[in-house]
Amino acid sequence: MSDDSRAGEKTIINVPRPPASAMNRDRPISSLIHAQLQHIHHAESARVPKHKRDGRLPDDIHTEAEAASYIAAITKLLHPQGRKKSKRRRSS
Amino acid sequence: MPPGLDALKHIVVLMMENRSFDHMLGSLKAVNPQIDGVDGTQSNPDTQGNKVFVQPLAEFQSQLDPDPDHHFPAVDQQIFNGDQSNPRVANMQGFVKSYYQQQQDLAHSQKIMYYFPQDKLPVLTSLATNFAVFNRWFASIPGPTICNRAFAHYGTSFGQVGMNVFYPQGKSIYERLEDAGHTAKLYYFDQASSTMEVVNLLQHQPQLFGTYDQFLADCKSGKLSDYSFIEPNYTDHDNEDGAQLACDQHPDHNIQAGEIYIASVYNAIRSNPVLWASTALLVVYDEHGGIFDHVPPPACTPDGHSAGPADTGLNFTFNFDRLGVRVPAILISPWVPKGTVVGSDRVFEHASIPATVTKKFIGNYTASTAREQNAQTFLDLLSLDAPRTDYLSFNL
Repeated sequence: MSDDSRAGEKTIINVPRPPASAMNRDRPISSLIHAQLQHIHHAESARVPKHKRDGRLPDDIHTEAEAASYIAAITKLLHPQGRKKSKRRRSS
Repeated sequence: MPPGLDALKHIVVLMMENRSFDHMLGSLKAVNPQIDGVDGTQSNPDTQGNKVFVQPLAEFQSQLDPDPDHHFPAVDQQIFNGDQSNPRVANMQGFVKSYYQQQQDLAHSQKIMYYFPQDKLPVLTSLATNFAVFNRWFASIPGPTICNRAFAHYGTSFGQVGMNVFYPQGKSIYERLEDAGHTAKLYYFDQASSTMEVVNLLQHQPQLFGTYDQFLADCKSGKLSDYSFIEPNYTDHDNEDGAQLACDQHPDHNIQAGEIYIASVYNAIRSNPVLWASTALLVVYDEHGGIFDHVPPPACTPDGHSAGPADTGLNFTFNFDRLGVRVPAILISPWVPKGTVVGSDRVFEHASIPATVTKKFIGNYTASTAREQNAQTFLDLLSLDAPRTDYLSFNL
């Protein structure tokens, strides 16, 4: 069923988008992200064989992009099913 | 059984970050006086004793920087204005003084009293006025994220009042559901954002997890689990799809990005008519993030744990007998009467989440904490005899 086939009053609400300047990969991490890094590191130490460990320490990570990079590396090991599926190329 | 409850097959919880009720929804008092928001008369003293009133001047970003302190000692000051005597009265008069301590900047400290005018938050405010908004949903602990989110997963934080690694001594709502033959999933945004439930759930039970892309696909295909818990993106970063803006609304992340995320979750459910008619979506914030709210948190049923001075950072033991600061919470379903305001006589907190999910899908479960067993549940709000046919459509 498409949206248009449904009965009832539809109220459309336009949602503004943030400006491009909102993005700040170099933003210093919050105490929340620092805690998440410590939890990720704890799990890495417990679950990842030494030869596969990332080597970075939470206290050496200062920006959101750095944090995301480390979190992604360990999450890929803990939950490989979460890898983004590559978009299929349309065959010509 | 009411028809809405009979039709209910899925409960979805989206938990955002670090904003108080008054900050996000306080403006709605002008729209509906039943909503316990702000009217301009609420105030806090600054460090010079001057009254600082609430004002509709909140901005999407760059205003609450540095991140307002919301760890246990700071929240205690915000609620009790520095009074550590016993007994004492929660008066919500210490927010400006608490924020002042971070920069010693008088003008900047006053921004902790700012709230958003309704038109700046079209998604959150339209959901609140079209479905059910809770006048009394509080964080479970007067403290930060990790311990508060634990209450949503376990109905307790096992004595934690902070952000430390901990191991649970009880079953999460997800394990309970699996044990009872039901399905449950936690969706994190992407691998670079991951989850805040790393130590307990991700490393031991990765099968419980999915990504936000999978949530969207599950909504479209009608394969959503009985219970879903959604986490936002916690950082600005790049992934295979390009630049990803943090959408958790944690200061100093952009508020509009969070509005889009909330709207996208709603749109994903509503776009599938069968799913829409059989789903209740709760949008809730984990804690107030150090930002002003005028309602004193009430006492509550203790959960059997205590946190000593070494954990609280204060000179007393906390017995988990008082809730944290009030947060925004909205229940969305076509079975909810339009404009519902859940009254001040009903107190909810994050233990209400596993309590509600358990009640719906499992029934009697005696292993939960006294706190969870005494928590209010919210599915009675699906009270209509037939689902509404009017709906919101967010244009993203």
